Amino acid sequence: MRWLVVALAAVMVVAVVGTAPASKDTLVIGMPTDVPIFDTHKATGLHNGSILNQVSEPLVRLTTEGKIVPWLVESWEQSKDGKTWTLHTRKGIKFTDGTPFNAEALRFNLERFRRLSIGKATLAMVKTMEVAGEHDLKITTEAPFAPFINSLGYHWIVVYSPTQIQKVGDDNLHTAPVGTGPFKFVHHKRGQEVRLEANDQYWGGKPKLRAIVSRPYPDQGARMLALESGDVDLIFHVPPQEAARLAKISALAVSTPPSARVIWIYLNTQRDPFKDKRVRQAIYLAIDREAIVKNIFAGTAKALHSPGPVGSYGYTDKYDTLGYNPERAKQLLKDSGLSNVTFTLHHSPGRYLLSGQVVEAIQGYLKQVGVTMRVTDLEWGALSQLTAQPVEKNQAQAVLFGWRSVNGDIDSAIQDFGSAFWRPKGNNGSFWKREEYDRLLTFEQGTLDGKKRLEALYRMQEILMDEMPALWLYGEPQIWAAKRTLKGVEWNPLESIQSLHAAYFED
Amino acid sequence: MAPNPPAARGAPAGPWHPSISLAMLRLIAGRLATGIPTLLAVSICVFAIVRLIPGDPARLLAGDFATDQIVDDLRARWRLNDPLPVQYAAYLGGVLHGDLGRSIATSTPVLPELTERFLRTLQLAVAAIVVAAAIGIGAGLVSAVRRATIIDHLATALALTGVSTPIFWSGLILILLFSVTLEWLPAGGTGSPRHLVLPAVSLGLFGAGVLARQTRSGMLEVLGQDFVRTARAKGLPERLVVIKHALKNALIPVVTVLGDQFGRLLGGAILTETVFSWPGMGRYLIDAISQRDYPAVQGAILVFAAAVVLINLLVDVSYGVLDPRVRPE
Amino acid sequence: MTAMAMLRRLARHGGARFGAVVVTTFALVALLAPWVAPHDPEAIALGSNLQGPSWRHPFGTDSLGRDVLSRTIWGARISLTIGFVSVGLAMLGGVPLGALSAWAGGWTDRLLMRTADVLISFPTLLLAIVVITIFGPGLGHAMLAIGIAQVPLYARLTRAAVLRVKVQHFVEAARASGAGEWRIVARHVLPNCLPPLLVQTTLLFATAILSAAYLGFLGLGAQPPTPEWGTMLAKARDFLRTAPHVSIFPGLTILLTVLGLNLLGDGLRDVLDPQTAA
Repeated sequence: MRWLVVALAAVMVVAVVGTAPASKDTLVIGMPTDVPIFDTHKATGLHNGSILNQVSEPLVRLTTEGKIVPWLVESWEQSKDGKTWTLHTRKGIKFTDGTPFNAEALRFNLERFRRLSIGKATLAMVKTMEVAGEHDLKITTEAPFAPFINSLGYHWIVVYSPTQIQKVGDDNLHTAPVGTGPFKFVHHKRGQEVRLEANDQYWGGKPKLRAIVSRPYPDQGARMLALESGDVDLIFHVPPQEAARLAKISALAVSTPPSARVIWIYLNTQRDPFKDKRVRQAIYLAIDREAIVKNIFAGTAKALHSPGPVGSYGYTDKYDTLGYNPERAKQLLKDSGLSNVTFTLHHSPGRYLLSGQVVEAIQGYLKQVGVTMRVTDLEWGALSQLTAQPVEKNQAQAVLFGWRSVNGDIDSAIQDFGSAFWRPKGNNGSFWKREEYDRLLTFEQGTLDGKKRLEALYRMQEILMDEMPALWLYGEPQIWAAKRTLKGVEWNPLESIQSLHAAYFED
Repeated sequence: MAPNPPAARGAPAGPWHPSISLAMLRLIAGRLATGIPTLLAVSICVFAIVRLIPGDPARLLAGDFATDQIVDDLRARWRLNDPLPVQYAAYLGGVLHGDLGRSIATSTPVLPELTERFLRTLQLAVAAIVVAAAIGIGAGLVSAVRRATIIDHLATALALTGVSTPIFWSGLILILLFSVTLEWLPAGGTGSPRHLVLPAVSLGLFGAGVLARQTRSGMLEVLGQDFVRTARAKGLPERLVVIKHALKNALIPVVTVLGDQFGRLLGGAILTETVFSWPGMGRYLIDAISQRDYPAVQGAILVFAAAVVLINLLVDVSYGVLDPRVRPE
Repeated sequence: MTAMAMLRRLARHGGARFGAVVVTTFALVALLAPWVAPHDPEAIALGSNLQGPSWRHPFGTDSLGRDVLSRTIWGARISLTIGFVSVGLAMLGGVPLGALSAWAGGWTDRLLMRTADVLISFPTLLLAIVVITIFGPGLGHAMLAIGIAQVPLYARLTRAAVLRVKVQHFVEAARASGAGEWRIVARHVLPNCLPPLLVQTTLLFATAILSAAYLGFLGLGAQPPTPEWGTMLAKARDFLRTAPHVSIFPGLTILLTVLGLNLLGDGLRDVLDPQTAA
């Protein structure tokens, strides 16, 4: 019996002593999810980009204000008829297997993207691609498409070494991906960790960090404990309630970079019960968005008073005349003649921060005005499939959806409500249509008169705030926390790390 | 999970020593042979699962993003247009060749990843069994020897609590105590022996409770028997009597219970892995279900069920070796 | 043994007394939930979320401001339902099969019992997950799944009990008096099988509640906002640090309820069925 006790004690001692901390040139990241497959052309999740981006690079980068920064593609020209673009790739870049990055490699990767990626529709307008020189690629589109270069900045369009793809097989790239990025792939132990090491031949210069390790912590409590105990150096998707507490810890720093994502609930205006504008307004009136922002997000999110992200050009809150008013909601429901309104909301858990709680809160609010909302949780792929159905087949009544503005202008958020953009052609999941709106949209996208354009944008918002084809909920916060000594991390507004090339630990 | 499995037997009478004979080997072979029809039955049931789910099996196995071409390829590969027996033959053939299909989420074959995950779950289960045995047998022993004292009542109460505590809750409380408040141990993930401690304790608590009760009752029975009284009358020291003579006999039913618990631990591991983000088979199964990754679900259930069958078989065989009453005459 | 003698012996059994008190409290709270619960279990109040225990909210509030005590009380109601439905289903399937197996004997018996043995060796959770995979998540399906998983246990129990009763004198007497087979089974055999079934029912009731909580915790059982204890704890995980009370109280309730049932079951076994006593 005694030996048992001694043995147990020994085990406890060994267990508690623990492992040595990682050296200061290795960055350990705590991710909310594991990378399902280390191949950007097959990627689906939102957070994976942070890690995938360090190995494979995009053609151009977009800033928060929507400006294009040349990256692997350094310059371009548009033909006179507007249908052909000539892209010039940056010279002197090699993949980490030594093969050169050139126009042919670019073409190969664009083809692969169009074949495999769930975002392939981004390049649906491309007709032909032709290599016109070692570093020149000519792309012809079906029709002139002005924001073509913006489309090339889509986050899943990246470049891998064609030689490597041919060597390991198209299906197995994820076992040994080779890109042009500041870090090289070492291994991916599924469910445990991804390890990258520095690419000292990186065209942008040697990275300061020597290695990056990413570990999945799906449980947010465990994720934070890992940061506080020093097991990891950086985490994101910090729960808003914890942000204030973490900020008080002297060894840590909490950041809230601007996020361009807004959360809406699309209401299908071609189906009951949302055919009637009064019902849509009633639902909006029943939800206390300020309370959600204050209590679920601890004030880190921003309630929307207009469809677009707060602070984007053209945003105005003066048309939000409805606000939170459950009594008026009940009245409107009575006026519309419908009783016991019931509908189903489709939702993808884990994709948007705290969306599960928001959905449950909305359920509670709607119950207070006599509306029953059922929730169907679907994995993102299944949800996209369901909502991409054209109007005749589309079964969805309400869908929680996040939208982002990439160019800092409210147009990119509200343009999708034009009737030309009914799914599956565009993102108008409300199947809503109004002639005046379509006219204004065409006008503001074409006019060069700044003052008139702003007026048009205002009028469009006024219409949307009255018609409510979607419920405008809130702008999502982006919160991350790391050791105070970590510097040089570049973020992009899509909740992912753009590049860790310049990152390092200060002494 | 019944706290006292109905099949629990009392301790055998008389001193005990193991021995192996030809008849013994034949018994073992016989027991092993019954495992094969069981595994076949398991494979039939798992095969049936995907076909019972509403929807086209080909679409379920291919995923939502699959093109019609991929779906047709799958249909051909698994003979989904043919009668059920042919489909089953194709499925069984695949399994025997190590082909459990391709995961929709990762586009990679299911078996290699499952194997790795299974080993992780095994690691957790073994650690939990060690915890359960150490705490359970120890507590049961002390309880029996100090019968009817405060220690006995306390140990019995704790055993009963262990058996009534939801596995995930004990995990959460352990995290609250040791990770959040005391900050001694990590709350999740892997990477060092420290990460195994809390999950193993949380998972092993139930087994510890069962084993404590079983050990106590077994010891009490044995301690009252003739050969023990004889040893005591001979003047042997108490400790020797207890450990050398009584414990060995009382341990036999305990070993069965231990083996029984091992199978149940695999089920409990599903919960522990979720609470502690342990990258084992249980979490793989739950993730696969929520992602509707049916090839992965099918594969995980098959491996789970096969593991339970094999472990129970091993326990059965070892019980046959250990227990003199089961010997062929 | 008469019923009165049984009850007297039970009342003297310490463990059974405690267990009976707990179980009775649980049942009463569950039945009287609409009157006992101080607040509406589904009424949200975001402004007062994640508050610790107070006079107004003895168990505190959850992440949406709902009263945890009220939700726990209604959770008892749900757990009571789960217990009755699952065990009821299991008995409905298992008892006839067990009786058939014991009465028929031979190949039928061997086959049924082999199947039952194999099924019993699988963890209940795994069997329940298989059923949920086919039918989809939800409280109703969870009850079905748990019921199905417990059928083999009841089959084996019934068979053992029937075998014991089968050879007793009064059965021979009934047969001698010319009664038909079915009559003998229904009128004489089955009623005498009740004691062991009663013991196991109490224990399996506990297992059913635990299993439903496990499924709820994994997101495969009752769905939010249903206040099932396991489902409540799934959400509570995220707030373990800032609001541990949301995790502690519902979990403690499950523990107490299951403990009470186990104690009662043990007591019943000691009194009614000493042959299989621990």
